[in-house]
Amino acid sequence: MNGKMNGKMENPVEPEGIPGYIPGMRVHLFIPCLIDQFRPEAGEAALCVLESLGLQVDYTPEQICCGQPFFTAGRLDASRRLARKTLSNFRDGQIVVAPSGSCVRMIRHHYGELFQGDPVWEKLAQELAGRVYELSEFLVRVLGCEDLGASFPEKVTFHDSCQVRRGLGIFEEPRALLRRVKGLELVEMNRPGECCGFGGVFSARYPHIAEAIVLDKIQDAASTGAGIVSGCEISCLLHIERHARATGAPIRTLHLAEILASGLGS
Amino acid sequence: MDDRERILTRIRKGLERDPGSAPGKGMPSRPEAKQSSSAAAAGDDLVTRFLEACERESVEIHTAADAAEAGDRLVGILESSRVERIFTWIDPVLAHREVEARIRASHVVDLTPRVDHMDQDTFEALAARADLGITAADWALADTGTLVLFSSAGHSRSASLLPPVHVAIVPASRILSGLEELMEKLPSDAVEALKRESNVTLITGTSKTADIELSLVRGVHGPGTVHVIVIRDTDASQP
Amino acid sequence: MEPRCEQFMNTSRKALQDPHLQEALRSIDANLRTMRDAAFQELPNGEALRDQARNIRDHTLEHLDRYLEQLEDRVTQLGGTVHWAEDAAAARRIVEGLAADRGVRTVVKGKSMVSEEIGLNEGLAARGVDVVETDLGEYIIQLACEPPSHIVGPAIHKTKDQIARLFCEALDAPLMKDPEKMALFARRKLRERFLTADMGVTGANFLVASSGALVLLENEGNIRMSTTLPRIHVAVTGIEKVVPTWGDLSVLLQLLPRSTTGQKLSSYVSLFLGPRRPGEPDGPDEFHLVLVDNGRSRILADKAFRESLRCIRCGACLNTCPVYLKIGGHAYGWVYSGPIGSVLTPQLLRDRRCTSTLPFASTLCGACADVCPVKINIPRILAELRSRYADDPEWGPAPRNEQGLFRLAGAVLSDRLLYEGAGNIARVLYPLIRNMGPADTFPPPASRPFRQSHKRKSRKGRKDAHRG
Repeated sequence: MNGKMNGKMENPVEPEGIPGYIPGMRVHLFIPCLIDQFRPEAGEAALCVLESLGLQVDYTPEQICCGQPFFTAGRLDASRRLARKTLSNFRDGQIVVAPSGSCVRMIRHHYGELFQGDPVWEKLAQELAGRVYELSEFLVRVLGCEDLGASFPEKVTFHDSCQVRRGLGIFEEPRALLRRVKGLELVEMNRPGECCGFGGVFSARYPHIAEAIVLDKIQDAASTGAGIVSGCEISCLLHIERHARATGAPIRTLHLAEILASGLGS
Repeated sequence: MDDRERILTRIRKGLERDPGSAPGKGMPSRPEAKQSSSAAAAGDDLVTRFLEACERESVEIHTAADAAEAGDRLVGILESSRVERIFTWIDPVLAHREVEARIRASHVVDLTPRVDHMDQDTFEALAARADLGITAADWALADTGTLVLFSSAGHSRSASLLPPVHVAIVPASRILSGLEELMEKLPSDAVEALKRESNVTLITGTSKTADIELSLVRGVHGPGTVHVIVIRDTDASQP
Repeated sequence: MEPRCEQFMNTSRKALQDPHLQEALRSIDANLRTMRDAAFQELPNGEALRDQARNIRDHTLEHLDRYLEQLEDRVTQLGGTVHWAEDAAAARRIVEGLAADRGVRTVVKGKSMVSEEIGLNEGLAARGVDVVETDLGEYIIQLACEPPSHIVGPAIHKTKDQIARLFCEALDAPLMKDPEKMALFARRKLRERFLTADMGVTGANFLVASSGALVLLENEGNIRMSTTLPRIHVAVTGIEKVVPTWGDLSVLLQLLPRSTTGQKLSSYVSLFLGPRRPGEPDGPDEFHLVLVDNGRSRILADKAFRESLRCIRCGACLNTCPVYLKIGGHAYGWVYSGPIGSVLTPQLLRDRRCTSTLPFASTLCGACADVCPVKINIPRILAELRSRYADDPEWGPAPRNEQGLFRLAGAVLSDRLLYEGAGNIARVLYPLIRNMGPADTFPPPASRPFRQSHKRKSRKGRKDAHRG
């Protein structure tokens, strides 16, 4: 299955000019449930970005959830069930790219743990862990591409989600990409790496604390003068945006992919 | 089985060892731990580093070329602090004739008991009445500006604790680089320790607290003012 | 101390509404956290030291019985007495027994979390012994009859005005405005108690097995006072505080003060090697070491949780935790608060009804693991505690509606039709339920999910390909 944007595709970046590009390169795009249901634009943007670089992108609606929310809530059986589905859906040895740090961390760091001792699934887990990437790390580290030809003339600040920064060690890559976006002014918060307070099941159980924490994040973001908070983890961005709207703070959120897709194609 | 046996048994079971196993000879082997050591410096550099570290800890620093000058510095501190009563260690550094003479000439009252046995309550009461305590230091640490005091018959703990001001006279030769070096000076086991001090106190700066709204207050319980006099002459520790 | 962890929801709500507490927490963030970070930036070998410290603690725990035996042997040789207490009641009995036997009427106490864990003060008071906390923060909360709100600064949640009024009411003090005046007032009051107390009780920061030394760190001098003036010194400690050698101690001494307050060394580091020697003019005549298990050996036995015992009680995790910095220590409901509290309390108490709130009182952000001097992987342990509460009958049954909810969610997310159907239902219902309860935490679902646009595109794509 192949998804394309409406109309002709412009390739602002010649695929052959990308260090890590292999002609005919084909990747799976994993769109997790939160992006699917709550911010499909981020999914579209990720698709657009990858195709603009000349990659063949496969998407399967069979893939819904990597099992992470259940894992962190301690529901290991449910987590395993979803993990097995994920492993089956991506069994073909192809690279998997996800615009979601938490999903990538789950697969890379916890799938092996989930299936420890299982003669079949542990091996599959380890194998998949070796070819799954978060979007920004795929672009910068695997493809070696930082300039996608995007343009977005706004002031932007970047939130380092815990799953992305601490979980995957990704910090420079999104910034390297944003710095090459035409017209974009990147400003840093005082504490870009401070937790936004979502924490999955945490904000469902203790919403009053999740709110108190995110208000600090919103204040930090607003104090930079940026109108946009970006990030690689949609759950953080949804949490920030919801409370920014509720308090009338002058910021909105855009997934990194949405910014990188800006000005590409027609 | 008493509590001791039950606890040890539970620990052994938890570590998946036979609960009844005999202790075995020697302690568990360990890989050689590589100590990350600050470069061992020598002589003057140690003194300078020590004094700088003391200053960072709000300790008042003084240097003296020899015991006589140390005595002068000491008297200067006694006068400027308007001290009437002192309490001291009984120690060769303080008993050096040049130092002792100057203390006597300064007319402060020395409350330090010099008898073999005194009941502790009386001893403490005397220390509590003093305005200033004077000790030497067994060692000092350049990295952190720390005084290391070993207890002994002449080295009371109270002299550096009860009076509101503490003066330590430190021969330069006793300044070590830091904690790692100090560890080698400590008793290696209980048998050795039994022949030595029952207490080692590392003093860095003044007594302080920030328990009320994180605002710093000095001199809660221990001395709020600490002076250090470093004697550069190596003869200073001989009476 | 009576646990109140099940009150987490209420206490945390109240904490968010308390302007004084919020200011104190902001102050912790701006000061303690910043100073700790600066101290570690300055250390050229901070990472290596943390690795060493972790290895030292792990090695000790793996041979804990041997090191405890060695410690006991040395302390005894030095003229001290070692007591073993299986649980809180046993520990209390030992200290109460000593006090009764030696005619102790007043006790001066250094800060000891274990003593609060076992309820020592209450036990002694019930037997007519006057116990005075001498650490200024503990002194304050003792007067206020409150539990500590922070491992290192127990009264950090109180304003100076609150403390001034407390001193007026409890100590007949004049109303003071200045923290310095208040601290010096406390100094005067406490000095009388130091000079007349019969027994000093402390905790332990470290116990050095090879030499039998007890190590205590402080800034005030109250521990030195409590262990120099009274004739008896009793140290009450958990069994996990042992380190093998002086060399090991020096690694931990480089990390503990920096992690706690950003200091290179505390004002006083005291090494106690038994009661005073003959001829020494001051110091205790008797030294007693009470080794307390109270659930620690059970933690040790569980490999998934063993590293919890590495903790050296520095408080760095509290100072960096986004949750703690919003709700303070009381919400955690017991002696240990913050991330390490969420780890230890459920394990020490083993009372699901009480403590099931705690493993979930975290976003699992990992900031604590970044600053822990002994590299305890707190988020991993919290996730493991969550799974024990969900799955393991030994930890108590999960509430049935919770089980049902997760099972339902799992079923929906593993079936494409169910999932897409649920999504459609949510889209229809959202405008109706958007202000109700849990729906409040969710943003509005998109009118067209990714898969829907994509399905259409892929069908079109296939048609195009077919045509082409």
